[in-house]
Amino acid sequence: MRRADVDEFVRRFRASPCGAAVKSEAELGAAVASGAGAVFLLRGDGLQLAPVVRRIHDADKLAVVHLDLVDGVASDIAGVRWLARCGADAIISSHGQAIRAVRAEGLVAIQRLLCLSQVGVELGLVAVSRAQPDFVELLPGAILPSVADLVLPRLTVPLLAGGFVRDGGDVRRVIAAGALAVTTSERSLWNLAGRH
Amino acid sequence: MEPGRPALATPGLPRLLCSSTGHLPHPDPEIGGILVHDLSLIELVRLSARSAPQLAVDVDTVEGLAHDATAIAFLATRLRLPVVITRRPALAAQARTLGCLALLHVHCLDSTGWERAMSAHPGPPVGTAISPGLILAHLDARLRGSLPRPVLAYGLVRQPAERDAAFAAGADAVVVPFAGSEGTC
Repeated sequence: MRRADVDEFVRRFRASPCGAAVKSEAELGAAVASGAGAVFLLRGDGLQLAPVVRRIHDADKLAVVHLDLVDGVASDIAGVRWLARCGADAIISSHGQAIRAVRAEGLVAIQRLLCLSQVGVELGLVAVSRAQPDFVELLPGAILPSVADLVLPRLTVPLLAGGFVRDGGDVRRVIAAGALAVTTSERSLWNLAGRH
Repeated sequence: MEPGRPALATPGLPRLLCSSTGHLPHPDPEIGGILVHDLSLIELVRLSARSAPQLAVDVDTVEGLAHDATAIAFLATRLRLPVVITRRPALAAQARTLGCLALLHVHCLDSTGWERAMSAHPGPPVGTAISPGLILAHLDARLRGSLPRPVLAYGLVRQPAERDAAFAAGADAVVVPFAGSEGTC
């Protein structure tokens, strides 16, 4: 399977606005059987990822790996190269240096923006402007409607929102506030259809 | 002052705390306390010496202050700060033992992080500071009900409606920016 580019991710998210965030084998099984266009791996053995990525690709979905959360792989350039070799389409990290490495490897880079305080948002936006990711993922996504005025004017790339998005109403509110898509572990949302 | 002496016999938590990174805001009768964060140790000592509303401190953001038992003892017994917030469960428990109202700072970004943080919570009488404070209104009743009290909604609550929503969701106190300022929250 050819590695997906940014346009492919956008196309998938428009068709299916909820990426499946998985932390276990059981969730992975449900995710590959769902309508989600992308699977986000938030747990697991990062040193044994290639078969997992192949399974996701075999289900015609994109594989996104969270560099900071999978076990066994450091959040550095060598760790990024390892995940690229495993076949990941995109890598998520909160670290600007890792994001730059992801782009250098030709993968799609997703930088997390942790919204805990105004000071934290400001620092995070500065880090985003330096690292130049392909997407930003805002957490917790459920609060996007309340912080969109702080964040969106400063972004030039599409926004994902993850964290405490629990139902279809939340998804609609978050997307109406400016997110392209949502990442969620809520299985009932993985089959939600979007714009085609 | 003797080490180990309690800061206050029965410290309380004002319903509204004004967020500050080093300056004391103009007096506001609605504001019961100041929560200081992202400042230096020298600034913290200076502020604590001034006559001011009740002072709470986000320990983990004080530059120059170690994250250890000596630092907590200093805040509680020398500066006599009545409210201490930290992400470290052991330090929160220590602050409570020294007579402070201690709040474990829980970064509430997603369900995974929530479970990890709450599993390490010392439990009552250590309370909970939830960041961002906005998220409290988005949690289901089961999660909100599991929070050891008092509960402080801390971070990004900027509008009166958001403050009201946090109280309606069970917050005992809310951190707000001070009116007419460039204050952050």
